[in-house]
Amino acid sequence: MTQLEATSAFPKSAATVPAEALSTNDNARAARLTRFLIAAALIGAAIVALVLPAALGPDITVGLAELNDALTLKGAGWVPTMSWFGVIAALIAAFAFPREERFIQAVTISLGSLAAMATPAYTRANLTTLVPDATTIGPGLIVGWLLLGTAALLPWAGIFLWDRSKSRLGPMWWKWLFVLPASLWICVLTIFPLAYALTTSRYAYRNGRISRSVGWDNYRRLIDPETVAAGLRNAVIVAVITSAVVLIVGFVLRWLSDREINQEARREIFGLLPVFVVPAVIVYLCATILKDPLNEQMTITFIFVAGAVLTEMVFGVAIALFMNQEIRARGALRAVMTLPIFATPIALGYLARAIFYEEGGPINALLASVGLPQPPWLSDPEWARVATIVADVWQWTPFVFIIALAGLQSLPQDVIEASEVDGATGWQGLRYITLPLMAPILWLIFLLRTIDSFKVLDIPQGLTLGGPGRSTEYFSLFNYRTARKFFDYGGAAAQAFLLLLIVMVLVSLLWGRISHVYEDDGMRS
Amino acid sequence: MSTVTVAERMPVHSAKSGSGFRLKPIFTGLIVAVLLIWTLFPFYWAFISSIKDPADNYGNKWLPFISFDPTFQPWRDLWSIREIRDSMVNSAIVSVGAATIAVVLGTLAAYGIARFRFFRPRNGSLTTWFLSQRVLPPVIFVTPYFLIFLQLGLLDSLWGLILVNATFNLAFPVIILTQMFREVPIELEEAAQVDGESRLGIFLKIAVPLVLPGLVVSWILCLAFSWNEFLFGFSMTQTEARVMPVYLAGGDQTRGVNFQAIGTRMLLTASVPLIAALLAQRYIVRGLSLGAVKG
Repeated sequence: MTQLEATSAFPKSAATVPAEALSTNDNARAARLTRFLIAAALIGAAIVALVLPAALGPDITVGLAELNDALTLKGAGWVPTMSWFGVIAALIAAFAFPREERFIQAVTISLGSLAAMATPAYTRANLTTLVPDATTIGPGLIVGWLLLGTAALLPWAGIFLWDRSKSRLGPMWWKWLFVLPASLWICVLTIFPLAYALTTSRYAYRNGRISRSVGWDNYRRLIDPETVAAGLRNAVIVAVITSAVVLIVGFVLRWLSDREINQEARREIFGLLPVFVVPAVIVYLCATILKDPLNEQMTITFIFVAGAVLTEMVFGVAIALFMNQEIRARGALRAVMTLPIFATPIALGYLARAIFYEEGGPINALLASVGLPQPPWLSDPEWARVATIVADVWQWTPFVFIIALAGLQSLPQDVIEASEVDGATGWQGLRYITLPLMAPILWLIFLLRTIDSFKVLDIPQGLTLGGPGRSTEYFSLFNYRTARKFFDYGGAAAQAFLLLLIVMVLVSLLWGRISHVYEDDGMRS
Repeated sequence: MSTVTVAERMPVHSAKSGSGFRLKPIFTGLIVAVLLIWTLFPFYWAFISSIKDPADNYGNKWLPFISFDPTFQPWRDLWSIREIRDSMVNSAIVSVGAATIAVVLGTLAAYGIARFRFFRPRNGSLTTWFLSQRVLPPVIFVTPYFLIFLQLGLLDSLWGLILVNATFNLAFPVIILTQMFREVPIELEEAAQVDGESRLGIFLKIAVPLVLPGLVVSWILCLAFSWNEFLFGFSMTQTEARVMPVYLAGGDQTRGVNFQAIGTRMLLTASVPLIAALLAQRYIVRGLSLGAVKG
């Protein structure tokens, strides 16, 4: 993909300029110099700030660590967070961008450095409240501030003074103006809050107020140290057993359906191993080495996710296959069946409570009238879990269904017709043509549904309020309550990172299977 | 839709099964009926609960006029409740604001990704960067948002909710519009460039009008999802900026067994996103599936 295609809008300016204008030796050396200077300024600022005193008084010197604590305890933890976040962003930008993208590189470095200047600026403005005995900010902050300012100016100086090229800001630099607003928005409102959550997770809170720094204790608090050794040992056994089961079941099923096992089948089954083994190990570890009650809440979350997602996948795909034939008014039917996705989930939760109501709710009334037992939907832990799963299935099966249907309809029709001409039966067509072609889309739906069901909060909140007891307090609700009901912000942040880790592992496990449904390079080939 | 009509004219499957009693259409009709009942029953139940007198809650009372006397008084009373009025207005402001911001930012980004070549990060990585919004569990952000907004005075304010909802819906317009911009023929823009139109002019006068349907629909989708958002509304508002889902969760009316109130409020709250969904039909698949599937 070295050549530019017609898709890059204005090929004249893009294709010809960078090659000759930017690649001379002189310029390369100048660019290296700029990079080196910027990195020196940024790292220098960090070192100076760490070593020299941050604030001075008549008879005290305050270091950066103390100042950091003082800032965080005053509730201004976002200020130091912004500083290290900015420095890291600027450092990455200095080395990650190629010369063609010098405009965005300069912008990122400047913004990062300016963001990093928040600590000196904020400290100077609020010195008396932060460190009552100090009279002035120390040389660490002053020199750091100057170095950061230099780093903010250096890329522009490089571009306009010593690293000049024919297209000053890089070829088509203005293309970044389209992407920049949204990227900045995400940096400020997603990446920065994540960084701040990391800061938050290192402090203890009491009654919603930050009380003291506890290092990584909030993370240690997630784990029950007594169970770790045995848990890890057993996790290996779990992995071995799961692998064996996957291999045996895979080969047996393959043999039953095809009567042979070729190289491709072997590769496919071994490829599936991590998809089953890694989640099994994660589930096992979460259920054992996490501390009470987190392990319980994790376990019921996994039960919920597995129950809901598998049901939705089976029904959704079945309905999609059913709707893929000629049915009168299919468009209207599809439109009606999309409605549940948009029914406000919290409202759905309350409505589900009315529907599952044990005395005189429609389900139990119906069951009673045909003489069947009436399950205690809301008062029994197991049945309450079933009720939440049913509500989730009602809302999200349509999601599986419409995307699977769209996928089915976008399959190459000639392949399917050819197989029918060749005399493939309905089952053979499904097994050898439709499902293999659909696999990436089905994995994508599976991934999206799995991730989304970890987020479930509205439905249990409305339907059961997490009860009876804590039997439907799934992870998101549990985490929410840790933060906003028990005011343990630090612990909640640490828990949330655990969930993020699980989600990331899931995404990375499955991404390889779905990425080729995207035009990965962003361009059609 | 043309395939459906052609297929109706040539009923291949029924011809195969020969003359006489045809089982397949009946079977198909049965499944369709079950699907419709399964999908629509909760809405139906919400509606009849809303027009039932509380005394009629118990027992098998499924049909208005036949098994119980409906009363439409709860619906008439609804708008006179000040909290509901305020919450509906708040919800409208938040979702319109968030959808507008998300669509403006998303359109710009989508045009950039669809039209230009980025060297590093590449176009694919840029797309992934925006898609990652869809993957992050929002509950992670409850604590940092709460603490940051506390500092900035954005708690219990509509602005705070607009910011949050715009962030979490940004992925939808980016996904939908990137694909739509790719389908716009580039020759139109090149011609305009020859005519001396500025870059911004090309974007605003040529490209955006051509994707206007997609723009409107992603706006509607963002509106629906912002409207339905509960977690941040619940954690960051109290009274001033209470949105409809939060009113629903906090109201005494919907605690306990007042099914009438649940019915009216459920339908009132969900009506906006449901209507939005019907309007946005064509692009729902693209938006929801990260744009990987067209539909």
